[in-house]
Amino acid sequence: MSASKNHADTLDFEELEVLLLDSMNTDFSEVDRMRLNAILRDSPEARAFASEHLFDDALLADSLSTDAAEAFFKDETKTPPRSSSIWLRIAAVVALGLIPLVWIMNRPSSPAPVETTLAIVQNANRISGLTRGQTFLAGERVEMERGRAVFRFASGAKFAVEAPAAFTITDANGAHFDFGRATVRVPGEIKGFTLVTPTETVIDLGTAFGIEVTESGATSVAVFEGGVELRGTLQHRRIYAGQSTQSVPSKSFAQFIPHLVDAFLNTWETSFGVESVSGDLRIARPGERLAPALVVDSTSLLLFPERESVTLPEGFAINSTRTGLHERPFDKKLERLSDSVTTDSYLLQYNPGVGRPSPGEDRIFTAELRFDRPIVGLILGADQLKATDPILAMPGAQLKNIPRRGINVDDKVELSEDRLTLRIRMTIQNSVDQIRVLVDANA
Amino acid sequence: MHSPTPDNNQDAAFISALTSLQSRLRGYCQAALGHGEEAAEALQRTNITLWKKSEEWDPEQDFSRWAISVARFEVLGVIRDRQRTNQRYLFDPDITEHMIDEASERVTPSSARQDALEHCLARLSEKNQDLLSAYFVRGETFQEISETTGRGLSALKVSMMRLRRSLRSCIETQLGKEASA
Repeated sequence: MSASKNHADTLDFEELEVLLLDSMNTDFSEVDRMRLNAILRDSPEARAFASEHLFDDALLADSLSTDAAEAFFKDETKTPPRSSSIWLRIAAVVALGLIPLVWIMNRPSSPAPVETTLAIVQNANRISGLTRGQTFLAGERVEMERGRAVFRFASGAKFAVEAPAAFTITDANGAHFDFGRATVRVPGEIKGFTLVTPTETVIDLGTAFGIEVTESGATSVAVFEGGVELRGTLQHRRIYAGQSTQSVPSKSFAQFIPHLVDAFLNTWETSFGVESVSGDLRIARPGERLAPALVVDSTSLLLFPERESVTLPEGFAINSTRTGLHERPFDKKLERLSDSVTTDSYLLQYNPGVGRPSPGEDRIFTAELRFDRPIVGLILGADQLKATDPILAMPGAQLKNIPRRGINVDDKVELSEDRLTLRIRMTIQNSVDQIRVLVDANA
Repeated sequence: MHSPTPDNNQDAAFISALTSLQSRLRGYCQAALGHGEEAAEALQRTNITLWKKSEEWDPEQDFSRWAISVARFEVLGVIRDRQRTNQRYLFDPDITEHMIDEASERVTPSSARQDALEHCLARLSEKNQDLLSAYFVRGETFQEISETTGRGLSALKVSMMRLRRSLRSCIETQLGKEASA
């Protein structure tokens, strides 16, 4: 019998219950917060009640997440929730939940002095005049005629640009974007990444959006995760995951347009540091990324970018850090990192949905995946996948009760000697295959 | 970069203990810090630290007690960081101290409360489970749920209060049955 139960019949906790429920909302007011604290300050019974209430809420969220995943995988007839409204809702909710989790691994640095490096080229694939590691100071202008490049700003923001494009770096967290197409991702609690275009100023509120500025100055913005604020000449507007707008020089404010996703898929993929993909593999689209357990695709393997800039401590146990071929049976001994390493995590998954393909109709999927930074480790076994979920999976990913994770007996995964390329050969059966790939975030 | 681990049985035991305590660790952090970013941040810091210290854990030792001592330290770290940057969080500092103490009472080596909650959840109608999922898993506001379902805002809040109460009552009944069995 709990402490709160003993008093529940004699004390009226209705107001406290309402306040605790409302405190989940981001618009929980300061007045309500003060009232909540006042109630808790006055009464030990209220504190016991609140503690139990909050504890149960966490168990409840966990159980419901698990139930959702279990139900999905057990129900053979259920179709995946592909309606855009569901995806967008998941995207918005989970993306906002990401903010603190990534922030602790990737704190924003102090404002940079004017003459320090404000941005660095993380990836410049086939672009003349730009090289990986090239740095930029305030006021430097970048013009790209062909190809795609990823610029990592000192704030941590990633700006993946597709040519033709031109922009000027203004500070550690912003640029003037004259024209071009780009995806901006701002991991962590950084916020405030600002792009000034000919028609409006776009301010990131966390965490991912696409932007296209034509040479005539028209600006289209599509929010994938989180939200952005648009500041036009006369009007400010906030838009969120699943919404797109367009502003043109002759209008004073942005207008909603059908949501743009496909236009930004190239820069979306590049922004995650994936240099090339070939074979039976695709990268999760915006929205899909946040709920891998719910994404069914019997036609290809999927790569889900997970958490970024997570510092794994020395001694962290994973299945393998070596190059070469990996297949079952694995060496049963786990390997431990001899040094702390900051990684970006990726979940590679095949999920045909239950019952597809039929037993006896195994298919072989092959794919090659090249990153722009070295792969430092692989997690290939179900136990290790499960054990690393709390640290590396996206919040809300609902991976907890997926049966038979890891790779199967006939699967082969080969890490190249330069650690940049992963070759995969999976014999697909009617179960979920997953591996986790850890890439050096700071290389 | 790596070296083979000397004791894989201990690794397996650690992994099992960490994953099975995950919900209760989340509960501890949330009970101490309230809903929101701080609790999620404390949980992630706790997981990282536990991994880091995994070799210090003796499998003969009560994992939950050790893990909670780590979680307590991380909760305090989150609070310190918030205070250093003058950020507001749900509880005032004096209340947080009390709530951390209260939270420690919630985490037991047994998963009985979680099991009871799952038993009670399974007895709810699909409609009620959907409502709880919308609020607690997908993070929808009452306003958003109202727009999706067409139900009135007040009716939704009342439903949620009733649901939480009936769940609490069911959990206590279930725990009572198990205690007397």
